[in-house]
Amino acid sequence: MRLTRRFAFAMLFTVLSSAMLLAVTAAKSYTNPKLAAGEVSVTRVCVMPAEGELQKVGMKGTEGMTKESEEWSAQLQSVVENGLKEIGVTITSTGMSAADLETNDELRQLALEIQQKYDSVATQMDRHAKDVKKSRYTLGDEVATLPCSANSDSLVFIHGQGNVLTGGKKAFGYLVTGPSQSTATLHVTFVDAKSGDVLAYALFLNEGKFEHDSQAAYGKKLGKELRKIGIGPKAMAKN
Amino acid sequence: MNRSGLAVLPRYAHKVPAMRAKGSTHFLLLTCFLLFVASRPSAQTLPNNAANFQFTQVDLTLLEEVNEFDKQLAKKGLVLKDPIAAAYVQSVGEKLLGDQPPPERVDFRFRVLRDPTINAFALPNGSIYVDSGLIALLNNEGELASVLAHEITHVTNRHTYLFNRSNRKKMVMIEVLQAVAAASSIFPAGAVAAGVAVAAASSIGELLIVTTIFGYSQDMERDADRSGIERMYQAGYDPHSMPLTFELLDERLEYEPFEGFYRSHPKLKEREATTQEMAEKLGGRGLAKGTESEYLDNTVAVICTNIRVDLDNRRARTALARSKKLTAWQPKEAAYIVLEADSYRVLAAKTPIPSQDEIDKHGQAEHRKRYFKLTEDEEQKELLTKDGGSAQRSANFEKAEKFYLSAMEAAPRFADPHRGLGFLYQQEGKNDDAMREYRLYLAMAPPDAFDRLRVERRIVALDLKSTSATAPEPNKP
Repeated sequence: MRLTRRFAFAMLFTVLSSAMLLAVTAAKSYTNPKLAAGEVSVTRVCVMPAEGELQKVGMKGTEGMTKESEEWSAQLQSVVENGLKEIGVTITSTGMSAADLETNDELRQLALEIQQKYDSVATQMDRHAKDVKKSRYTLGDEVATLPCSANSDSLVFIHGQGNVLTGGKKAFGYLVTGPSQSTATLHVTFVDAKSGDVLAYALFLNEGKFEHDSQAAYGKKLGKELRKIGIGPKAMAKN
Repeated sequence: MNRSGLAVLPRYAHKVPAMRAKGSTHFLLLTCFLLFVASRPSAQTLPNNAANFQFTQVDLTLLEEVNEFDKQLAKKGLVLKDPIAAAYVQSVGEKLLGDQPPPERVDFRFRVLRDPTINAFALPNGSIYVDSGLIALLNNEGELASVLAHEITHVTNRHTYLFNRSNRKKMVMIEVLQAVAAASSIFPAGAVAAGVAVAAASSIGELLIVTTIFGYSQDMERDADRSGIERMYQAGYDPHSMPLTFELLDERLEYEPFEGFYRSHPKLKEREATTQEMAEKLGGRGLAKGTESEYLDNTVAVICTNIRVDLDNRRARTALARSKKLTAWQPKEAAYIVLEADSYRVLAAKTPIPSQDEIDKHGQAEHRKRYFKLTEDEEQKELLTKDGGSAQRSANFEKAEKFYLSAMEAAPRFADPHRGLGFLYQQEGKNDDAMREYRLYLAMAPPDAFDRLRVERRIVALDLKSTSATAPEPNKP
């Protein structure tokens, strides 16, 4: 009996510990009826430079993680691009990477304008994401000013935000509010390259380790969600 | 330097919570107040000069982070590259620095940031950024010098490092309070009141922190105002430019996403009065402040960029005010006339100047709600349903048309007014006129014009619309 109880405690401890160590990702997505009905397709996309912001949250407040944020942004970009390629989507954003934009100021300013436009729409979209289903959000046809919009049917915006808890903060959290983990949100938005209408918006919530291996944290969920949304030539054929 | 005097990093500005008091009981308010007062340092804790300052590991970590942030701003294209404006801002900054050697680990650089908000900030490594929104607001070199002199003091007096150190201490305090709250919830009989109060404090923890931060900043801002005005005077600028700058900062054309109570009128007015008094003591009425024309000569490219950024960011009133300044300066310049016309077109059903109702507290709250709740199109639709909305839209469109036509007259081969007029006519539902203007635009614009594709697509869409409208219905002759 004593052994069984000990065993049960050990099992519970193991399960809880592994749950805390593993990254858990949840996803939710919203699709514009135009995409759902097959009126528009997403087979050629221009991926805008990913924007990832990480913050270290410790006992002494929050600190920026500028260098890590840059690395995370690059990781997110590659995870999304890989996910899209896997389902047969062509990436048309050659010359649009963060490194490319650094050498072309005119293009960079154009990209900034569109990015700011997106940020402005995201103010409402992040709050009422389900309204994507009502075709509520648009960036306007200004998106056509980006050269890659000429040979794409969609622009993809990637925005990640993460709070990385320090060891001290986690330990403190256990004492005060129960298990505390680093958390991150990733937003992937598909925008019609002609009209600027938001076609799909996917949100990934992550708890656990995400900042070092984004592929492991988001890869599977992303692929699944993209198929669900109806991205790619196969989804188009289904419609 | 923004209206609060708090230098807020632009990309993170939206994270600063709105300053709204929560909690209804006197007890909660009293507790918050006591915490606030307890955590406020006195002004005497500010060092008088940089020589007393000793770097700690915490400061060095911050410095490293700030250097990286500096690089990121440039990397992301947020630092404007117009050579004339960049050289001008740098030269005014250098004039203020004089021959004084910079403090340890400081390399002064003055830059313009692509940001429509009215703000400037200094990083402890000596990078001083002035937002394009603030550049567009100012009227002469003296006003620019007062902003830069103020920011230089934040660097020389190590305000950011001190701010960071005290902020870290306060965070620990809040964490401990949270722990107390959790503990008290375990023992409700003994500590219900304390638990609720502390829980309330921790639920507005960020507010509390920001409040204390604003408190620190007030002392630091006073220090920066005082040292800044003296620096201006020593560099040969008229110190009276500083109170005038504060007067300009009081402009309230738009809803600003972060509003703090230290930004409210009495505080700004108080600083205006204090610096006015200091300027009177210093004298220097005849010293340099430069003319508006010289200032605009050097900054016009930044102002034009900022007007376009304003138009893209639901700040059409500001865009209009700035473009009016440009057309008053050079009334025959077609590019500026087009910007004014664009501003009227984008304003649509909005009034060019906010009404008193919009400016007061309730109006600001309404505006805030609208800003977060409605998209730009929805806001316009809502305005049209209100009294006078439709008339306002017609009046603004009429002005926009007038200005587009006058730009065409000033520069007949200039393509931009045709594009703008095309947009206007399409908004008004005059599709044939719109198509005509779009075609004229395409004929005049350079082959690699960045929005050629956009205009071409509009023509195709309008063409399709008119074809489908004129096509006979099937089964009918």
